Amino acid sequence: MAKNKSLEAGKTKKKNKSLNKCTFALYTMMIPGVLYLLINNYIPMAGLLIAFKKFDYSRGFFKSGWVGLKNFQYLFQTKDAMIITRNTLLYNGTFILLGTLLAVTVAIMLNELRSMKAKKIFQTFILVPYLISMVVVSYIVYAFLSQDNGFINNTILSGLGIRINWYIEPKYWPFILTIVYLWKTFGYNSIIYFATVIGIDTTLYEAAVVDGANKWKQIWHVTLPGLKSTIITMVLLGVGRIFYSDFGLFYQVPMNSGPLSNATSTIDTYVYKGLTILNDVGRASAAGFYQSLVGFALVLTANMIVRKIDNENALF
Amino acid sequence: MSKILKKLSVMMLCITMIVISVIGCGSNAGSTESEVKANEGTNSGNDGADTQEGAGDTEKIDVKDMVTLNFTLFSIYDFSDAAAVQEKLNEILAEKYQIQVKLTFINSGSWTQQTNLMLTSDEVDVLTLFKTPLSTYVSNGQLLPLDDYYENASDAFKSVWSEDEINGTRVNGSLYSITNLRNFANTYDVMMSKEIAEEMKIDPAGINSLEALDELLYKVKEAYPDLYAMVPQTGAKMSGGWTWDGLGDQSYIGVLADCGQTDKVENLLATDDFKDYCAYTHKWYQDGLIMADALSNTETGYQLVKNGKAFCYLSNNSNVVPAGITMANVIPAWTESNSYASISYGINAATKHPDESWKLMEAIYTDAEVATLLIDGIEGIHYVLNEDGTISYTEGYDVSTIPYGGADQYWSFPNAALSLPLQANGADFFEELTAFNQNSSISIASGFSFDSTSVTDEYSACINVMDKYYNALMCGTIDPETSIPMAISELEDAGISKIIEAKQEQLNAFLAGK
Amino acid sequence: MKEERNTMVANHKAGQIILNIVLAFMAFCCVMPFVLLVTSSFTDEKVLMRNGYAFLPAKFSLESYLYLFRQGARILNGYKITIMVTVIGTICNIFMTTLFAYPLSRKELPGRYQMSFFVFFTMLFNGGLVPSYMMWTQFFHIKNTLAALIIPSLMMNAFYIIMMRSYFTANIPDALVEAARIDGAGEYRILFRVVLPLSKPMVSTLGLMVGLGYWNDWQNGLYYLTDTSLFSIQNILNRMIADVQFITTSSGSVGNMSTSSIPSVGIRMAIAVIGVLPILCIYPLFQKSFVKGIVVGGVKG
Repeated sequence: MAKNKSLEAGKTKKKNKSLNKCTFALYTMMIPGVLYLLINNYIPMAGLLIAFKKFDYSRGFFKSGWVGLKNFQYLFQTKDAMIITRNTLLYNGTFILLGTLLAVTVAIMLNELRSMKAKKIFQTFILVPYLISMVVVSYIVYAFLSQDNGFINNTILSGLGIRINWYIEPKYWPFILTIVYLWKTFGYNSIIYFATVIGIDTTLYEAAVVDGANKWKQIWHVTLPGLKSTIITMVLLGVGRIFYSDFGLFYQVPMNSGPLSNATSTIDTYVYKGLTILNDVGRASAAGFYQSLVGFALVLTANMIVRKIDNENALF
Repeated sequence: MSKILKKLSVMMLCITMIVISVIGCGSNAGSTESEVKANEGTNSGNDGADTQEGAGDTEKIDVKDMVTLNFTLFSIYDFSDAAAVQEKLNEILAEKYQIQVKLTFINSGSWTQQTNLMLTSDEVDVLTLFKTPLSTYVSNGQLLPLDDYYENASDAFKSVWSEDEINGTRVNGSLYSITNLRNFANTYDVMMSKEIAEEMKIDPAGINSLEALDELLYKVKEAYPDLYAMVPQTGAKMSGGWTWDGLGDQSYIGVLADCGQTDKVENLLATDDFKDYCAYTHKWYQDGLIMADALSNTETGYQLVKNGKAFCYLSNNSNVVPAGITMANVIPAWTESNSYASISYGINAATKHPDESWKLMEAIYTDAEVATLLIDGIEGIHYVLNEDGTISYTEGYDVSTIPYGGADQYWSFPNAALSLPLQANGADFFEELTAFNQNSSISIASGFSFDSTSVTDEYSACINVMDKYYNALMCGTIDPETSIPMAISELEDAGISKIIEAKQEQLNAFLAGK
Repeated sequence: MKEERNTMVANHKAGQIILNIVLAFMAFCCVMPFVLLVTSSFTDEKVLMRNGYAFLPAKFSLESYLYLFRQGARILNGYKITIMVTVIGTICNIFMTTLFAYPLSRKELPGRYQMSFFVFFTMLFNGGLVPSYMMWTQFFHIKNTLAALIIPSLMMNAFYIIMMRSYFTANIPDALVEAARIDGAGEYRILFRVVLPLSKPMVSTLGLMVGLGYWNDWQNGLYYLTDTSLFSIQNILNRMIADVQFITTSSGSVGNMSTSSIPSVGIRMAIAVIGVLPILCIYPLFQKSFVKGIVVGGVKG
């Protein structure tokens, strides 16, 4: 008995020792990354304090005076505060939902494609929108929506006899911006999902076929679960940035047209417009802080929910 | 074996990172040491006052020990030859002023971003102040007050600017920068296609009001139905202002109407000047005279006219008439209150060499040799001297290809009057410019700058509202009858009355003190 | 049986045809605007202004490209810098990211969730530009050096670490790692010999995304460079657009005929085109590694 115990003790000791060796090695792997994140991200984070100061260039960062929460007031000052918050949330929510749906669908479709050549060609083409800068995209959109020369007014609608001045009617823009966003990013976003799908163990598919599953069942029972982890991660990451918006999309594509403001202004455009003349570092920092805080709270909540349902896939 | 190799490569990367940063550190450490030495050298025997005539009477400092000032200037054209000009400049500066300079040209696209970052440390000593209102620079503590230096400045310096022009760059009573030579006054003109104007026998002198313009545009539209009769000056900006004085910035929140000849601060949207303007443009929009997509326009009026797409545009950049254009004046020359402060030169509050920086200021404003070199470049290389005293670009070059494009950009340099004018502008160009400035009507609030720190929140909210409506109203795209009341109520919600009150108070105090 | 097989094959064929059509339509929508850009860049300026963009250039003109060609030296230098920065940056990034992501994916690592949080937190909270700028220029003196284009913000991004981690978690079977451990391999060896070869698609994706990030980045150049000889291609192109706009808008010089011939609209299109083409040429190289991973057999039991 005693001999067995000591043998077992010996075994667990050996296991612990090798586990410790593993842990040590794993931690040393993380050193360069930790160092970099500390220097590049954590040290400058002290700058978040600028949100609570009146930054005086002549006094520098440490000696500038505190102003408490005053720098945050301008964000809630106006009735517009509701509008910009609503816009930011709704757009981002839609983007996360539809964007993920589209990217995953395309990734799966590409995977199911037999012809290697077609796969490569389609993949290359759908990446092109991502490579075009937003300013140029705004020209392209203008080419479509211009009242006089625009493609849409001149062809489709002239048949119906109507002419719409797209750049002064806010009601169309949620659709326009969503379409532009999806067009620009679905190719790029699908790459991650595609890489994951390829990595799914083929024996799982074979097993499914043996069990008599057709294509759709295969996708449902093998491909999607294989993507689950990636999808959850990407969605959580999206939720964390939910209060941020792509400045180019909301400022440049509508060509900063005033009448569209109610449908296209977001927190970022509001801050930009309000602060270019005022050049107030404290207030700009306060806006960033506010956006981060909300995103953080939402991600924590979402992460907790994911933890409850499926422990492994939580972000942290 | 390969395990060791992989480990090694990881190590190498880390080392590379560290090395890069150390190299960077090392080279700079070297220069800070020499700067400290230079400081010690120049501090003895320098009492910071009169230095211009004093060249040579203080002990001769070795060039290596002289302070090198970082001089940052705004640029539009190409300045790739800046290093050569800098060398020549340093010869003169060493001899006359015992300072050295390093020229950095930053072009308009990156201007605001880069200068703001540079001002967080002592990376720059003397710089152009442009694009951001002067009062913002001051409220951020970015500038060194210049009162003492100006008091003790040489007579030559003091004679460059009149009292009004110096007061134009005072904020809260203190002097923070020195203005530069350019057209302070603006005229507002109709720039018409020369071809069409000649064909229709239009007399520019007859187009001197919006009504006259109104008549003209309809005539043109009839004769040329395929053209836009009128397009914005640039982008979505119908005209770069009109008869309202923004009192410090171009966001027009609380203005003086009537070219600044009143002392009542009002909401721009409530003034008759504005309402009349918008009524016309809306009428023109509805009748198809103004381009419909003005709000999403990305071109300039000049390009559209030149390319045969439009007949005319309004402009305030009109002290020189571009090719192919006939100009008709509608609003005669007037100077806005912040005109002196819109471009100026100042000293970084974080500079380590304030005395030497002031010496540089004196040099660039009073020394003709320095100014000519700085603005026009090196004779023979960048320009050739003509008999009438003007200059032309060297053979084979024009403004877009010359590697030192200062001559065409005279309006951004400190004192262009000391330099040589371009042949295209004429030998008396700078005298004419000064005369033009002096003969314009001047806003009552000239020299006033508004301190917005007490109403910053309201200000940023109002800017957002103005952004929604201003361009759209000016271009006539929305109906002023319904939109102006809406805009006014939104502005009230954003707190514009508080701003107008504050502006009026500060203005009254300013006028009383005059 | 044969009938069943035939229907299955027929279904397959039908399915493939539908797939091809749908994907072709999407690809068409994506490329069509780009084609518009290309044709506009070959169109004469006056015609472009008057008629807007069209799929067939009404009047062919090489003027935009000629203008760019005259700036050839600058552009080539820009490409040189960008290529250098992209290659160095991407390699460093991939190393650092995989090194960090692998331990995070090991379930037995104590403190795994805390370290993940440490990484993720940097994605949410950001001190802003000014503190970063002050730190990098005053402590590390990277202003106007090549390092300024490589190190800040792009050397490693929390997003990629998490992406990698999630890939490792999903696609590398624990049993495999365990087996290697039992065989006596150290963690480094496991990472480089076992895990990475199985992760080719993801490493490739990472390389692509990071590479694109470096290629398209214009912000670091904007903040940290005043020395034009270090400008990346994006900085140079942006600057050219700004320059062209100003030259054509400035009415400072009378009779300046040559400025009126700068094709400002066409140039923007040409610039967009030459910004995109190099990537389209390199992309196929990445696609080669988008192959199905090795069958992870033999790990049963």
